[in-house]
Amino acid sequence: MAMTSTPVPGADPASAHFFHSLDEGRLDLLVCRQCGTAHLAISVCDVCGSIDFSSEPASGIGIIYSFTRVHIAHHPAFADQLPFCGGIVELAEGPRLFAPLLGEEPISVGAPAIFEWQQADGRGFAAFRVSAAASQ
Amino acid sequence: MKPQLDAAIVGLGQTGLTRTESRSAAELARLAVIAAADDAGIGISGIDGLILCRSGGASDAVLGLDLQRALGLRELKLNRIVLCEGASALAAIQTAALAVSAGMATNVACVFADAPVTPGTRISTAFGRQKTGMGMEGLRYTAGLFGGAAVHALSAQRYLALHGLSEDVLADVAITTRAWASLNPHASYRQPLSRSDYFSARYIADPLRLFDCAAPVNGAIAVVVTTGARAADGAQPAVRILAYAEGHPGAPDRQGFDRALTHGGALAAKTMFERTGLTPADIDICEFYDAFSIMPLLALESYGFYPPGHACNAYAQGAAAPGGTAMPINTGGGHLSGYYLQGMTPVAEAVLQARRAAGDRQCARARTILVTNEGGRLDYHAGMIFGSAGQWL
Repeated sequence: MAMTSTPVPGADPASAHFFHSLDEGRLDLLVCRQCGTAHLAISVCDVCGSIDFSSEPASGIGIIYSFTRVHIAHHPAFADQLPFCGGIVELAEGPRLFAPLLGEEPISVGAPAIFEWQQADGRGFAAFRVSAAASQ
Repeated sequence: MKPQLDAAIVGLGQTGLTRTESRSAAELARLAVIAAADDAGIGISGIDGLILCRSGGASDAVLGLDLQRALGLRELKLNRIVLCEGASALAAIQTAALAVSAGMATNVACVFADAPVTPGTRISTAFGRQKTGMGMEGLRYTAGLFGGAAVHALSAQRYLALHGLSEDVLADVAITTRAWASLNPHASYRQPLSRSDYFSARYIADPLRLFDCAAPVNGAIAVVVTTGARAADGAQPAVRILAYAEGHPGAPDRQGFDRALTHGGALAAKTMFERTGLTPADIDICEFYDAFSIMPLLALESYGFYPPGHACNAYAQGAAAPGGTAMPINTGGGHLSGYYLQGMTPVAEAVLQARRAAGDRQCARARTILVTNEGGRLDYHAGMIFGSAGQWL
């Protein structure tokens, strides 16, 4: 099977900063200067309506909001990893994102997860390493 | 009981509904509209409005406004495409109901068609098409979560974890729905499903197994909507549209919200029940959008039939199955064992039940029927309550 890289989405206006930072190896937040809400991708703060944000590095620490083990590869990048885990991680600062999940199984909802920078075709993306032991 | 609208469904047409069907979506749609018009006793020349249901989840074979020409329809007063993802069918019927209520058109056909299955190829290729997407939502593909099963698995996983439930509650949904399908000659899977059959089927995306996922088919379903007054003289028993509401939660993806379990039914239920004076206790049958087994459980809770984490009681000991002790659910086999034509699957079954034309699976009480449609990953929701002829006015 020919290797094909993990697909990484293009940026839209709200996510331009998020994807640009990841391409450079950083997981950055956009923190609302008015109400302090942390976002990953935002144009107008949905809490207070502000359009003024400061870029701050995320701690890279989160928990598993939910996850699944996938048994069908719809994309060649995942064909030799079956079954593999993906899910949604909730960062300690609050925002959530879809991410590939690495590490030992079993994974559980609420388990700690740590940001791990990965690259595909010159793009950076956020994966998270889950510790099964720490989740017990 | 005060109906929100003076409109009714008077015609139903179905074509295909199999994996061996090889006609195009456009041709299937054409045949379904003709069948619905004939069923209504008005013939295709009686149709003066056309609404096509569009969904991003459907295959590439989408319908266009030129279906009018394929049908030879002249001087339509309404021709449009309604897009609300999986909720497009009810949204289309609502648009038709508004149009006939306002006198914009008289007999409006609403149609959904899809042909995702290439006969002879693997079913899993039907809905897991390669995508990259844009922005944060596109990260689902980076995570390897392509088809609908993978993202609904996230809702199912979290639901089971939060409420301390086992996969048996999903099995109960699949087994009950199969029992209804066994009584439906159009259903894809009619063999009884044992608990051991369910658990020995392969996982698609944990905790969802094969029989937690919809049965894709090629086919089309059309309905004809007219005013309540005209419906009373129709060829078929009228199916009144008692209520309609949408609910699109828009829950943020961050701490303090629970997007994967926030279901628009809560908002739609409030609107429909308040405006009609009906309550969950008045509902005789539910026809839920059940592309994945988790969905009816979430719908039962959002509509107020059960508190969070308790919807499994609707299915326990076969309560919702044929001959069961409680409210029948997805009486045609739903998407899971029947056929997946998005929002039109529950609509067609509700129409047949309300007409008392559901054959071996006809429910004794079928006066008031709740139908739901879901789109996205629980992002877009529509609900409609149907009333059988003569029961409500």
